[in-house]
Amino acid sequence: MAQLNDENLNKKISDLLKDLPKINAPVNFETKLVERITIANQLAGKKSFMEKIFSPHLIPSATLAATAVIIFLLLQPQFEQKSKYILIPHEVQEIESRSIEHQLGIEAPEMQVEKKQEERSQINQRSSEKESPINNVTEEALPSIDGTNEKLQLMYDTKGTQAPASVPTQQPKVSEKEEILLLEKVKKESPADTLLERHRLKTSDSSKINQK
Amino acid sequence: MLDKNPTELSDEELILEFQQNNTLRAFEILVQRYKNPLTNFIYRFLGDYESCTDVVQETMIRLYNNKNSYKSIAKFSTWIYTIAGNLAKSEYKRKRRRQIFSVNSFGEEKETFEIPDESYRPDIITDSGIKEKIIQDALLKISSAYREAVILRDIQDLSYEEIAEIMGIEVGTVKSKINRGRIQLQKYLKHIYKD
Repeated sequence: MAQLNDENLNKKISDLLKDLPKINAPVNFETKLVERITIANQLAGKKSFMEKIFSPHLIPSATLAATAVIIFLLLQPQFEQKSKYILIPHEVQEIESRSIEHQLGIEAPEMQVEKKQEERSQINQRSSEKESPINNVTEEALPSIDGTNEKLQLMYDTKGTQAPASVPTQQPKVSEKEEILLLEKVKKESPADTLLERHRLKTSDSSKINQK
Repeated sequence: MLDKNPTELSDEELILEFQQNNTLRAFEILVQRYKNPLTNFIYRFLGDYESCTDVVQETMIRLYNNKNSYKSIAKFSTWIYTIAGNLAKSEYKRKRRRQIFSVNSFGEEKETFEIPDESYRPDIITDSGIKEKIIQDALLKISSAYREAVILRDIQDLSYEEIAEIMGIEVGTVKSKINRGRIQLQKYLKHIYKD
């Protein structure tokens, strides 16, 4: 019974819908349609520059061109040099920072340590030089005894088997502090050259003395 | 093929002629045959004549531009109804988005306002027109999937198989959708069919 009722209701609804008046297209439907089709065709014909560039059939050729450019750049002889800077940025940075420090007069901490070590070694060398009498011999420093040079006499004596019995007492004593100050002063003026010159002078003096 | 009177040709023959020889006469005949059924279908689905005309014209433009996408294995009528149905659904969604909008940014309360459709003017239509309007309103109140199936079956008089092909669903699903759609319509049309 309920099923029959449902079927009746369904039929009534269906009839109501079928009785609805038919809606027709407007009279000028075809004219408007032709207009729209012509406009659509005109728009399709006028492709913008960007649309032409990014059209799907150009994608493979564009990819090939890009690949060729990349390969050309990689195979370029100068690229290796360039790539050094491109591929190792931290090294370049280090070099750049050092050059900037040099320009500003700032020294890297490693360099400062090295210099200090050098200075210390030079001071040590100097002090050892002071201890050895031969190296400290200068014409001014040597007092003459009876017209003869005591130092030279000693030197001649020491040429034998015996070691020099005494160290000249009247030699001018330079304290370590003064030595350091002197070194620094010299270093400021011309750090490496003057030191080397002094060293050469000393060595040449001592060799002259030895020859005599 | 056009040795015969073109108006005597079947839809499938006409579209084949249009595909192969680009015969505009074949296209014109197809437009003449389908403009009214499609207008009726789309109007019942959307409830707005202006947008309905636009959708039907768009369907014809699609037919003109994509004639080669039609394969002869399917019936031409189901193919063109599928295009029109899809365009109608898109238009319906767009219209809904336009009509219902949120005004949260303007007010403190989270309320949505529905703007009434003022295309219908009860003061200028007749009694039969009122009945038609009530049925049309009832159609628009049911869900779009049920509405499409009910219109295609009860208004366009298509077979279940054709509807299944147009909507891309099984015949059983079509029957259930039509049934549910009719049940929903009963709620809104009780006072009409009691008379």
